[in-house]
Amino acid sequence: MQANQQARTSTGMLGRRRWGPLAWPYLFALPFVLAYAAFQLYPVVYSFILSLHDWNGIGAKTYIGFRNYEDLLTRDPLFFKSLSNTLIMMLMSIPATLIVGVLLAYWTFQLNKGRKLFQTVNFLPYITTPVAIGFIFSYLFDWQTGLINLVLLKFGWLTEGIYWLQGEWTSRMIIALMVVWRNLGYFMVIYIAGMTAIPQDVYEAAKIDGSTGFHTFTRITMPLLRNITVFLVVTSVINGLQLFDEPKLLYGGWSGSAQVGGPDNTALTVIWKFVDDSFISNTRFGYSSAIAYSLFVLIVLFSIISYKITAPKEDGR
Amino acid sequence: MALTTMKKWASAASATVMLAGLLSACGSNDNGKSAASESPAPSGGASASAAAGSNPADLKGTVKIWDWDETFQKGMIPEFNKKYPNIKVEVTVVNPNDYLQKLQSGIASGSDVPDIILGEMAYRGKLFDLDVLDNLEAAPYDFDRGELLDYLPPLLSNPKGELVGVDQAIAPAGLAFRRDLAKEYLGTDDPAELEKLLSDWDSFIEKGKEVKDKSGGKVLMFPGLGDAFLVLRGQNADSYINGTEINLTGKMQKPVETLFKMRDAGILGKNELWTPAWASSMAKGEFLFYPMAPWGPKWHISANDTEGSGRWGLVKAPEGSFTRGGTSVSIYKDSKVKEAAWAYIQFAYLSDDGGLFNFKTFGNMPGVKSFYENNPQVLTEKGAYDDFFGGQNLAKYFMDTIVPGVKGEPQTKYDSIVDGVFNSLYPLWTKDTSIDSGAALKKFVTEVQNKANDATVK
Repeated sequence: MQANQQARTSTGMLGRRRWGPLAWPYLFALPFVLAYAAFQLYPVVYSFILSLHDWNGIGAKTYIGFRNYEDLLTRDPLFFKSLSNTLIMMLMSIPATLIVGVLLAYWTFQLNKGRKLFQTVNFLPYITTPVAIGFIFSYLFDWQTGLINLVLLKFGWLTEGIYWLQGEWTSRMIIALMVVWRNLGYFMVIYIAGMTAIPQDVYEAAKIDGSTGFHTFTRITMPLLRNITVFLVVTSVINGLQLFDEPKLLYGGWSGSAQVGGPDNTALTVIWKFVDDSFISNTRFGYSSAIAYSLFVLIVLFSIISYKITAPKEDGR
Repeated sequence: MALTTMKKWASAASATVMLAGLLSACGSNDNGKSAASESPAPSGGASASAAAGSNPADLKGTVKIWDWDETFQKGMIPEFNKKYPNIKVEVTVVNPNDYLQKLQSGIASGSDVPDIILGEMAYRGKLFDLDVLDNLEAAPYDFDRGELLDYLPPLLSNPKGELVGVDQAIAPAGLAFRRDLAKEYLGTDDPAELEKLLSDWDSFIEKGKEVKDKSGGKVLMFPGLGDAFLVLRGQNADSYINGTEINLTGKMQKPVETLFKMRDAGILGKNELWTPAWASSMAKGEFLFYPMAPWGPKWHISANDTEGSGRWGLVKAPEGSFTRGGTSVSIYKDSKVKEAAWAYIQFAYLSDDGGLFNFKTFGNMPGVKSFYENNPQVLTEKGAYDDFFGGQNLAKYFMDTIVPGVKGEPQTKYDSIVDGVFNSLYPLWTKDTSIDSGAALKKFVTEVQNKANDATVK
């Protein structure tokens, strides 16, 4: 800094020019860096420090080293249950969304008429507020007033409504269905964007070589959409591990009723457990930070794994 | 080709953006908005001057209160300002479900904290455990717990035994019942007769079976396990949490056993509390009894059975009374306007003037003895919801018949865990009738232990 100033004063205009281009990038980057430090880096570091403490948010913090992590990994059966619930619901929803999404996209892409309408209609769930989705599904699947049960009863297929929301597997299936329903339009749109980018001459060449329909789809469309698939898989693994809105709203939608975790905690996700431990059942901010950090590590791990599995090999193309 | 696709995309995108705006507008609500009293103050931190007890006009300051019942505050504040013209009371509407979370964030970040803090029963134990409320029996308040109705002090004390709140309105509870159904199936709709007929739970269950048979299964006693358990659990008000030891079995064994007896007798519906089916059952007349406290006629019964005026009654529960819900009113220990805040609490929740206004306008009953001693007419005059309950004098019945049987239960931070676990278990017990009370109790203990892993649960 001092040297710069000296240089500036001794060499006049020339020095200023030299100093200028050097400083500008830093200056332009500064707002972002500051905002990042204040709103991202600081909370991340702070919550790690917090995870080493016992704190109820108001009283004094007690430093307890890694005991929160120890408790979480050795003495908290609900943490592993919530993790396995989350993974199960991801397994139920992600492959289904991918497959149906790409098929819908392919079909929509071939449409000549009504394509825009079809795209918009399919995209609507994605922009609906999660609160509304929670209400829609809890009304649909309510065992007494729910539409699904009313239809089943009306046709005489059942004598008493099914307790959709209180079954171990039905509850998870409904949540997976909510996730699929919500994300399908988004997946479809991303795939259509990918298909638009595939040059037509590849298809024309394939046609000349006698490839048709299904063959073209599996041999040309899908391989060329591989990067899109990788993007969708990795992002949905990240989002899936943070699953919270859907189960919380499905079970916490009614005023006053506070059923955490669904029936027998079969719908408890990691983030829901995190919220429960910090605000609902307990006020253990340190412990919750430990949950958040463990989840962070898991998300990094799973993202790497899912990338390794789906990404094209270097020489694959 | 590329250009037309771009155009299509642009129009689709603009359509979706517009729709997003519409949908998100539907999702928002008014919960977060803050409503100030008619003369909004420029800042909330003015200090109160002069001690309570001197000329009311000398007390100055701005008192902040978070409440979910905006109607109550909007009515009470002008009354208060007639006597204390220089104290401004600012109300922020906060949903009870978010209340504690919002308060914690406010305190932790040192930003917005109200001077008067409300403690709904659902989170009261956790609130008291945070140690952020002033002892009202110390200076500058010097309140005496003897002024409260006898059952109240345990409900309003923190783990150290200090009295940290007064009652917003008493919440002793009995059973609201459908008069038409009682007459048809039990032969009478007179509360005194019903008390005799349903003196204990065994006879309640026997009568319940008769009602079920007579009505062909169309009319049952309670809408669900949740409702029945509110009564059964509340009747056993013994303290069961000692430091970090939770004697859940000792506390819950009898209530759970009676609950399962009722379930197996088939006299309970399959509704969960506060669901749409539960709410609509009141107007439909599918169930005889609903546990109800004095806030119930307004928020619970008349709100869900709007056409039901005249067809409801109130009777005490078999084997004793209990409390349902209720809200404590406390002062934040770092408040800068303690005297002014206390003046408001005294006026709105403890004084005769405020009490009478509260009682006549909202049907709320204050929790101090002096109110009933100085105003004996409130128990003879007609109350706000008496007509809805077939002309029965609700205040008199609550005070004379239900309150004497109520015991207050000390609140701890573990109570919300126990309640939360029960709420997530009873739908399973409703669904799966192969679970018996022994297995249910065991599950109850395990689940509470899972969530309260710093405590010992037995």
